[in-house]
Amino acid sequence: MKLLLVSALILCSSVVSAQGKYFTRDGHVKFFSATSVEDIEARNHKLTCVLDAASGQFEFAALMKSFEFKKPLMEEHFNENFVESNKYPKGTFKGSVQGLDGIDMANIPSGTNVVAAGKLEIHGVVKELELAATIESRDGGYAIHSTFKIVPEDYNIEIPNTVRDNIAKVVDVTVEAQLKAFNR
Amino acid sequence: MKRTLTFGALTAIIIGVLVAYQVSFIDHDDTADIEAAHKLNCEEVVQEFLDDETAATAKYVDQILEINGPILAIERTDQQITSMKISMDELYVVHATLQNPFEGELEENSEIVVKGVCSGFLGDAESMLPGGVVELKRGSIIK
Repeated sequence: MKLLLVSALILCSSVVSAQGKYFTRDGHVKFFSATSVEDIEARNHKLTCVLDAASGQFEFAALMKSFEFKKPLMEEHFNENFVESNKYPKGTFKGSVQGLDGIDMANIPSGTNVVAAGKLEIHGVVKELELAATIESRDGGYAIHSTFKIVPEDYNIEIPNTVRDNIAKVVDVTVEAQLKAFNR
Repeated sequence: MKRTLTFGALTAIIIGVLVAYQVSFIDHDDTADIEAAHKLNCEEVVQEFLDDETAATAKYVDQILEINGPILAIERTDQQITSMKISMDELYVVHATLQNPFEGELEENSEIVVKGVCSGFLGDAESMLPGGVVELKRGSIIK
């Protein structure tokens, strides 16, 4: 009887903890542009990402100026000419993770496929997107991974003719985040 | 006269190509060698952004800040320290990525001084999470 009670309590606590918010301030986002002229990669290790495990509400945000490029000239062009970071300092995604209903949130197996549907805002332009992602339970939280493609032109990012051949028309974006429980 | 003009044009083209090459391939300046524009405690700088993000952005973004405070968390890649969060509260932090990975030992909760280029303040996702992060890139550990 005692064992049953303890088991029930453990089960309840895991269900309760799996229903709160989970977050990170140090998620990773990378974009990669490949052309025959050159490959350009930038990384940002300060992605803020939040998931409400009960509702599926999901957001991530990153400062444009926190993307780090190998070469300062690339970083300067990116911030000043392409995404205009002073005017539009953040990129954000706000939406919800769909398909969580049938999933045991306390124990999501590795490689579980989900879709995050929502609005991606870059350069002041908002686009509806469905991001394919994987989610799994890890270290008391969730590990999320998503790769998707964006077309700079869709976000009114103008590429000058002089460097048009250096930048891909479609850019690969990778998002990785290890979310932990938000306990307040 | 024609020969002089041709020589001048060629020289200008060669200089132009060399300058463009140098500018394209030059590396980032080493933050450790540059004097910080502002020296602050981690709580002070976060509070300034929370109080007036526009004013703090104008004052600090793209500037080199020297920040002191307790290490909240350390991130390692291949056993080397690549970034750290400085704060006593995980929701209100200064987050610095290092220009060069640090091979020494650092302990959480110990005091540190870090210099880095301020890239701004991320209060998002403000609808779901309180607080915010002041972000530094190309950081360098002072002590």
